[in-house]
Amino acid sequence: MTTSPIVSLRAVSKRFATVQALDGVDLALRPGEVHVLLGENGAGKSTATKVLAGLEAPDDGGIVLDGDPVVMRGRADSIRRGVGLVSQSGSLIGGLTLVENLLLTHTSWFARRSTAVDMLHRAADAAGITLDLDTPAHALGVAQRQLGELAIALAQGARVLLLDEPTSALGPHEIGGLFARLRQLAESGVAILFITHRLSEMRQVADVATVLSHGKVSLHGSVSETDDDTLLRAMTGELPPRAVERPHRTVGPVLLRLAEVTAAGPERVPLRSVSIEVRGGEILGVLGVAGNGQRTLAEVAAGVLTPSLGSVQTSRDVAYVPETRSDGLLPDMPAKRSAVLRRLTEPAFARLGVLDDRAAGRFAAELFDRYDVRPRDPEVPAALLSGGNQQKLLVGRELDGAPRIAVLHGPTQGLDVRATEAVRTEIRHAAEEGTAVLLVSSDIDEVRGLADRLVVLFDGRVADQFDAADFDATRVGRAMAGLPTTAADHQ
Amino acid sequence: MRTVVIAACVSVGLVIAIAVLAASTGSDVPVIAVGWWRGAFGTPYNAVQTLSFATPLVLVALGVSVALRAGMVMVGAEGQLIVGAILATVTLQALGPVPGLVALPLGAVAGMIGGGLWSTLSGALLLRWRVNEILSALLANYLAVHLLAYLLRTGLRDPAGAATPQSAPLLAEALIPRLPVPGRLHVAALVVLGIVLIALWWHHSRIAFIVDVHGQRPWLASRLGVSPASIVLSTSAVSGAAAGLAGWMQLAGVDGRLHPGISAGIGFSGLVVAVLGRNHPVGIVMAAIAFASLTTGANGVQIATGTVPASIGAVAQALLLLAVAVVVVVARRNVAARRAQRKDDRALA
Repeated sequence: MTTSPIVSLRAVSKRFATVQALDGVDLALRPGEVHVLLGENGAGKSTATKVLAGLEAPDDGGIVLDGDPVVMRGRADSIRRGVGLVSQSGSLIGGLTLVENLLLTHTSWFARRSTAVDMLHRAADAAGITLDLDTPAHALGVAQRQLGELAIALAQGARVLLLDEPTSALGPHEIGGLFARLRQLAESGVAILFITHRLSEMRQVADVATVLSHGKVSLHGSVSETDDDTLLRAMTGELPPRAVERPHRTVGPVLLRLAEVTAAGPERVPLRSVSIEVRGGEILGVLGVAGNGQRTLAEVAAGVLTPSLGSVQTSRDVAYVPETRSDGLLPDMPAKRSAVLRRLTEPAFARLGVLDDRAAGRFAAELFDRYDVRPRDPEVPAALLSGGNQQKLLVGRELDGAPRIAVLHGPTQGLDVRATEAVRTEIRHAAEEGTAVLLVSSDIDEVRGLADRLVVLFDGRVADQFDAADFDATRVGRAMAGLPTTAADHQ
Repeated sequence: MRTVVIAACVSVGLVIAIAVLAASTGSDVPVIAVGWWRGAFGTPYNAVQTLSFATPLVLVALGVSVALRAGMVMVGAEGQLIVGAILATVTLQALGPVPGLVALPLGAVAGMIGGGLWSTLSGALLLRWRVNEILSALLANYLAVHLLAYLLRTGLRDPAGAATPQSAPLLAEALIPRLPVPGRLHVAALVVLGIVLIALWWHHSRIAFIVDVHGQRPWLASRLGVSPASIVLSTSAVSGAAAGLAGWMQLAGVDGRLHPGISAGIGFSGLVVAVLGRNHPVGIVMAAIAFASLTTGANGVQIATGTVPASIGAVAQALLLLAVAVVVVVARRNVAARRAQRKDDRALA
């Protein structure tokens, strides 16, 4: 590649309290190139993105834009300079439509709605996206929200796109579509930075890869000339263990039963007359394109949401990992407070009714050790942990001590290869201990590898269900897309 | 973090505003400061007076802080205090002449029940129809004020027939005895001290942490077996009971009879004290004493300067109220945004 970069980081360092997030990182984003940024949780990927987007100021080193050193003074400044960001958690305002969200970032004194609509349409067309411009953002599916953010970034005139794990909540259909659009954008001269944990999908779209490890660049090279093992070694320093064979588990009585449940939840699509059963020691996988009722199903099964019709048989002892991890944590309090939340009422955590913060700290330290939550400091506010470490804390807390029922919504989202494997092992282990596991995920391979039975949700209904042994990619794909599966496939 | 910065800016602005105001009368700021100290703490009598002004503020603020932890901003203490005083008056008058050992506890309990019921109204409205608790409590304040005015002209009017709307004086047995100190501090101040100790325990208790959890993530609290209804109703009842108890103390310990000015703005000042004290019992005690010292210290300022009127104290308190309102609104915006989002989600479904 001989084109000069649009924007680059030069020897950037950034420190948060005790954590050296970035340590002399160089990163160059060139027009027409899809650049993938890899690394374990907490390796500094999100921080590097935030520095590029002007959300964090580097302690050391600087940013070079079009050959000149610049200082990004906040997000408004980086938008003006043509840096677009689609963040991990999403930055749309829920109550506003996409058009209104774009208007919100408008810098001129006269922001006209019709102009904004025009700009969004043009940007969406250029990227080959169809968007629903007039629905409040929180009513859009995850995929639509992400594509919407992408379109807004383009409408703002972005020449550089930063995508922080855009695929973690998408189904395979949507990912394919997104990649096609990214390639198209790159060919039109946009520089794209793409963060992911999935090596296979990175190969479909990226030209160059940079691997971060503990805040340093450990590998930089062309994707086609680097094999998976080299990348993994650069990320982790070692190879992850191969997935274990599924052991034979003894299946107990039905612990979780939803009968003809109809419920209106946080998604636009309500749950429509859904019946499922999960036995002790069994993992039921729920597949579907994001936004087809999975979140509502998970909330009903976890006892968070009361259905309007139908009955739910569940237990007081439910572990629940919600789709949005911050829903399960207390962001502003020390992480140890989040860590004890499931066991809080046990006698060990209070003396004469007074919360025993030191016992909580000891419990948290032990949990942090077992689930490799970094940094190993239970006093750090949960919000300051990296996304992946928050997820490890949440999953660890919920799966700790063999709950009767576990409802896990995207339990490995945002986790690196090693942590993902560790969590999957924990899920298997919980099932072996007799837990009834409801696993909701958009990662087909994950559900296929873990679940004993699968259910596919489409438009709030069970579109198809089958044993894991009968897994058939075409059939799943059709069910997820809402197409009829052939009669012969039904038992 | 942002809240802290805003709080710091607001307090600096406040000090400057008061200094400018005082200096505009031509007095020296050091003279004013010394006068304030004399008036508030300079003599044993003045110090006790400051404590006696602080006592009901502590009580109201402790109640407000309980509700604040559950994510509810309780601005209804004024009305709860009034209704507590009304119910205490009605109970004591119905009781007739009884020994103090009966009249005092019954008056206190009546005050707590009155205040508790009045605030539970707001809690119930929030639970059942998601009525904003600030709105309902503010309206309930008006209701209480006018209920008081109505009763003082009808059922509770002093039969001895003064033209001013006020109740008959309480019987001597129903009055709270004074402590043997210079100044007008009554025995119930010791009860408040006991309540502060209980509040200190509660502040660090596990159940208070569960209330925090409810304030931030309701589903996590209900999974621990504590339902939203029980938290909302119990915290609002406790905060109302504290205000109602303060109402009884003002009635039986200070004024001796029910009259339209019984609340003396204590309900609103208590909210200021709770926020200034950052919800911590010790902080609340210190903030209440500081707040009360503005009233007592202002007299000292007037004496020391001869030109600055004592109403400077009321002006300072009003400025403080305004400043705290800003901080509360900023801190609350997040809670409100989350709640609105949830409401949207429901409406949509």
